[in-house]
Amino acid sequence: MRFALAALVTIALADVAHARTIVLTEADCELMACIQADAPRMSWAGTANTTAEYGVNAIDLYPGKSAFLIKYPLEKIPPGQKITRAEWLIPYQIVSPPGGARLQIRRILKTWGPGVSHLNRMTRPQKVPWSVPGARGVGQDRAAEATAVVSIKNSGEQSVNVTQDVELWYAGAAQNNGWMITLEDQDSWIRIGSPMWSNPKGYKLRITFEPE
Amino acid sequence: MVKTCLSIILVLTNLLAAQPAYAQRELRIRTLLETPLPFVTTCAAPIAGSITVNDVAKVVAIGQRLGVAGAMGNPEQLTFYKLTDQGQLAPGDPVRVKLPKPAKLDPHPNYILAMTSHPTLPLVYVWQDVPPLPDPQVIDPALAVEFDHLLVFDVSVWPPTLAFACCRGSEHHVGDRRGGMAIDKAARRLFVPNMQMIGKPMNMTKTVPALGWLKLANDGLPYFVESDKAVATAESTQPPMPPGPPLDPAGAAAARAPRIAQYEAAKATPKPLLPARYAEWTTYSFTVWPGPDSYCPVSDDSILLGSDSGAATWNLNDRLGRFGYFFITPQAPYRYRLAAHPTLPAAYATCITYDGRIHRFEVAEGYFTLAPQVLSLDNVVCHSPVAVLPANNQIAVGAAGKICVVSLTPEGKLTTQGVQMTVNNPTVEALAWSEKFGRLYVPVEK
Repeated sequence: MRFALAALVTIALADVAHARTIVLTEADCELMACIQADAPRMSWAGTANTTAEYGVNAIDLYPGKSAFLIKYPLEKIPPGQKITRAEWLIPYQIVSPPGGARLQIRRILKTWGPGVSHLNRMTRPQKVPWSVPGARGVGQDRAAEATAVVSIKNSGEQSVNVTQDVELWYAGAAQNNGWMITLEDQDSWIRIGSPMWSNPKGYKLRITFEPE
Repeated sequence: MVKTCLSIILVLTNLLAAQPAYAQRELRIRTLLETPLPFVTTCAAPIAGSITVNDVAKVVAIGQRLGVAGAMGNPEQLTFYKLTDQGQLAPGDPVRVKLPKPAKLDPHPNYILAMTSHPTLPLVYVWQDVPPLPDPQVIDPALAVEFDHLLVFDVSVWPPTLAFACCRGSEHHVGDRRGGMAIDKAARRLFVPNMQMIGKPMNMTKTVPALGWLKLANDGLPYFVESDKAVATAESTQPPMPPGPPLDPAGAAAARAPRIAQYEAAKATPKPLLPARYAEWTTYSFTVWPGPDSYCPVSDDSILLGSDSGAATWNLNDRLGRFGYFFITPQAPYRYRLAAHPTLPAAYATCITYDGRIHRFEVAEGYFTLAPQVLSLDNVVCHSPVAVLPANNQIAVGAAGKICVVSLTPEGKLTTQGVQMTVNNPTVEALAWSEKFGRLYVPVEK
């Protein structure tokens, strides 16, 4: 009995002392938006179902004029940890042209909130515009360097290494304002999964950490 | 020894615990404690589908819906209760009213779809309809041409009287079982369900569903326009004439009398008068009747809507993002009902007769923004739209045999603090809150 108890305690404490992995999804995120230049005041202009009518049933990214914004809270990582790996899974449904297109993932540099849109990063408590509409101000609204540029085609789930970003935010070296996904290649179009419709809990952020 | 082992196991379990079962935006209440709620007033009215309270006249009105298989509880579809100065039910029997309909529609039982009250005048607005027989055939428009959907009751007198009736003919779809109704804070717009107009979808000209409102004058009745000017009037969101100053109840009643006489006299002429309205059709969001299921005007330019598969926004000053459709999963058609907080930038959606979830939407400048919060109530199926209780900082929702009350944060966000109160109603489909009296009115069977 004593041996079994000792073994149980040893195994448990050993596990705690080593790496742990948590999985966050967009269900953990309060800050999320799909912004589009064609509907510049809307927070959720995911897809144009028809003229001037937008829905969250899909998220369509067009080069230079639309973006998906999301911020994952990192408070679930206990203090005193070291981030060893962070992987973000992005579901996608359609890619045009068939040969593939490139998604760009960048850190958002400015705080954003209620009323976020193509024009503004928030309208409450006061209206604050982006430096460049669409959060496109390089080095101002969004990081100068992309966290990742990934080529995708067909449909599926794309894994993106975001370890450095999560480390940066967790350590407090940069403010966590989340990421934005954009499409920069001309003559391309990507439909990524809608967290509100087609892919609930599909945007998984796997974070592995261990005590420092 | 055993206690030591159990303690260690408990500590280890806590250390090894991963994330909670429900994520940050998702809340859950497993058990609602049964609690008598002193601010609740129950009002007996069978098969109730709608309820409204007129604070000005201190009157509660309860509307009877269409029962199962067309059965009706009472031939009188509308029940009025008088309230005391404290908002309690006054002594005496309620007044029950049978709603009018033309003799041609006798085989069709008429019922109430929705009701609302004027914010400053002693008027209650009732929207009624008749079902097609045999179901699901449509009603012959020739039969419905004299059926008035909108009934305006003067509740300054006892018993209340039918002051005015309108909304007949080709501008309104007949035979619907659902539909939302609302009045804006300024009492300039009365949003009504199941409108129709001539639209041009797919380059065809045909009658299509429409959203919109009746343009109210300061006496509480719609402005009237000649029938040949109705289409042009409906294309503008502005009233046909500058609104006059607010009227007190006596002044409003005096103003209504000659206008009602004018309206009635014009019925027999080649140019009858029609209520002035604004109507707009969509090509995606609201393309079938009945609809919308909820109207929530939040400003002069923005209206939130309950729609087929969730919530929607309608922004009159945005020609690029005029409608925003927020799908909610699962797709449970025609079950979503929306209610806006009267003072905070928030709206709440329920999926009636499906599950016990309540969605809370953040609203900014008339658009849904950020991610909605979701509260799940175990062992509850919501049967009503949310009623917001601002004075209590709570919301209430009807269910089977009970009402559930959930506390809010100062920002109007949902919390896991909730209680329930059993009531004698197998399906509480409507609730009405009086900010004046601080009371929640709940229809019960008896």
